[in-house]
Amino acid sequence: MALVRRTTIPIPAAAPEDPRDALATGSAAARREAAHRLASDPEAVGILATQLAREPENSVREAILAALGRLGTPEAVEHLFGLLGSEDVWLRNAAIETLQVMDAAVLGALEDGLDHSDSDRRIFAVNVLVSLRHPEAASLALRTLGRDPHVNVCAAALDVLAEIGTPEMIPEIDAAVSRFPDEPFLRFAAKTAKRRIA
Amino acid sequence: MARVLVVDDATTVRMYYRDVLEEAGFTVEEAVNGFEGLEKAIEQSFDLLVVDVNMPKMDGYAFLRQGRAMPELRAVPALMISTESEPQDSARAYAAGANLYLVKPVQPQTLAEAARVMAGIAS
Amino acid sequence: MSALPASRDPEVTESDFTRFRDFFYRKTGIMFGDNKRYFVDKRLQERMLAIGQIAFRDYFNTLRFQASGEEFQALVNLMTVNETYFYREEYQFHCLVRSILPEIVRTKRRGEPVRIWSVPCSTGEEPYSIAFQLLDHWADVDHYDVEIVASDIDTHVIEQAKRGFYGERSVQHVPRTTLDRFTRRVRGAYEVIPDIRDSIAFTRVNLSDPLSTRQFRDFDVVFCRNLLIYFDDASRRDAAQTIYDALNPGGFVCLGHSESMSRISSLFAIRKFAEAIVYQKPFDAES
Repeated sequence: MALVRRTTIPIPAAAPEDPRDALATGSAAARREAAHRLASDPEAVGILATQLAREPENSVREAILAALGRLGTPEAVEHLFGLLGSEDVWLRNAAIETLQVMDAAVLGALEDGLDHSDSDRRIFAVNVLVSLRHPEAASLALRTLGRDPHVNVCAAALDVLAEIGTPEMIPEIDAAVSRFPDEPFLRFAAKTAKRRIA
Repeated sequence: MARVLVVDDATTVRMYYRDVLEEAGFTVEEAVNGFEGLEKAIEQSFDLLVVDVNMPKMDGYAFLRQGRAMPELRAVPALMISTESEPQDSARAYAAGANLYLVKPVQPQTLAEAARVMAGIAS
Repeated sequence: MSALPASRDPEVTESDFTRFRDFFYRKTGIMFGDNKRYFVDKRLQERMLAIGQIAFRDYFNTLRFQASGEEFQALVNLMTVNETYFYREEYQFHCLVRSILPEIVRTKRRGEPVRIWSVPCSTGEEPYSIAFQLLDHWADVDHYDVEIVASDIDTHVIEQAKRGFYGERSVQHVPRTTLDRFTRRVRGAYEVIPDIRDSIAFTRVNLSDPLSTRQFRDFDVVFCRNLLIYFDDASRRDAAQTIYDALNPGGFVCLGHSESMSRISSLFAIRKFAEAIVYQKPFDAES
């Protein structure tokens, strides 16, 4: 019979290297493992961020982002928000996904992000709210909808509210959308959101 | 009936495009990101792609680049619609394989007309 | 004082249904059409009653915001049929023997084993199904050494899997000739023969802990069916990393039929075979 079982499962060699060295110089597998190991070292945010900036392999970049997410320190959060301004679309979106699962740790920086001078950055900040597991998520989206001057930021906020808004928010949604009388999409999104949450 | 694949992570945007495009005579299929878009394109055929840029797991550029390398999507016209309005944004879209780039929010008539022209449907 | 409502049955309105449907689609890739309204409502109501949240809004908030993701798991469990039995989703095993393995062995050197990982293996139906299918249907089975590793996080199911005892219902999709060949009847049950039981390495693993999975390497195919759909976003990402690390470049991942990689990870490419769509670690991935 051709099915064979290895008599012993090979015992993994203990990772010999300092993960800080491996992160910069190892093979892709070693760099990924180094990132996993550094996920419990709050001092490692700087070195992870440095490697992320020059790392060519998406699989390693994923591991580094996951490590930053797990660290969850204010420094890590700040670095991840900084990536929303990256020209690299993969990195930007992967950073948003990382921030989405960091829950309460991102709140302070998120509020700053929602006030950023660049409307694209504000849209990305709203996108963090889409999956954020925090009770403030809906009220932050509503606040953005009420005061942001840019139609696309407001549209993104409405998309969040269509899922997690509450009936009390309807008058504010109406008032906010009336600021954009010539935008049929915004009217449509508001109508949808209201129907969902009524 | 002409079939369009709408690839956008925002639920309300997909619903809006669906309304407009169904009105314009299309059958609409949806995907929440580029990866799901490729999965759907492998199983069904489309006459038009309407694609966002920023999406989780696989962005619109990557979707178009990979799609253009697949027999199923090599020649399907692609309309890319994004919030980003810098000149380099449209250049990137065309380099990835878009046939037309529009900036959000798109007026319903503009979307309907562009879609019909690109899919070769007479108005 | 107003009268109490006549019944405390949880109510799911049409807008509740659509809100839930869009959320569930975003999370899982499963889209319920309007014709599934009754099916979905029944299951939502069942869970709402079970945890005592009669108002849809409260229940939805639990689903959406609960940090443990426990309720989401319970609901996915109800919405998907999660029964384990031999030859479940058999088209994937057809894909394995007809398409995947022939491609894998094209690049194998003489004497190099083919390695397959079944995770989660639960009580063993999947790894044994793989073994049966290979021995019955893969023409090249005698030309290669095949190593099947079967893992689960739960040591109790692993112990059960090692024993290899199954009832009639569990093996009902296995052809009689295969059962005669690879099992023997013991007190009305079927026992997998020792040759096959001994050929599979059963181990414990926690997929979401990439640091504990270093010994799982050099696999050509990973079956990871009906697990990741239950995970939250962060755990899915970690598990995808583990599977990526475990695979050789060009190796394949098979997910359950209701699972889509589009909700899990961007690290793998899509591969369409005649029998199934599966996912592949890119050949040019730097290892």
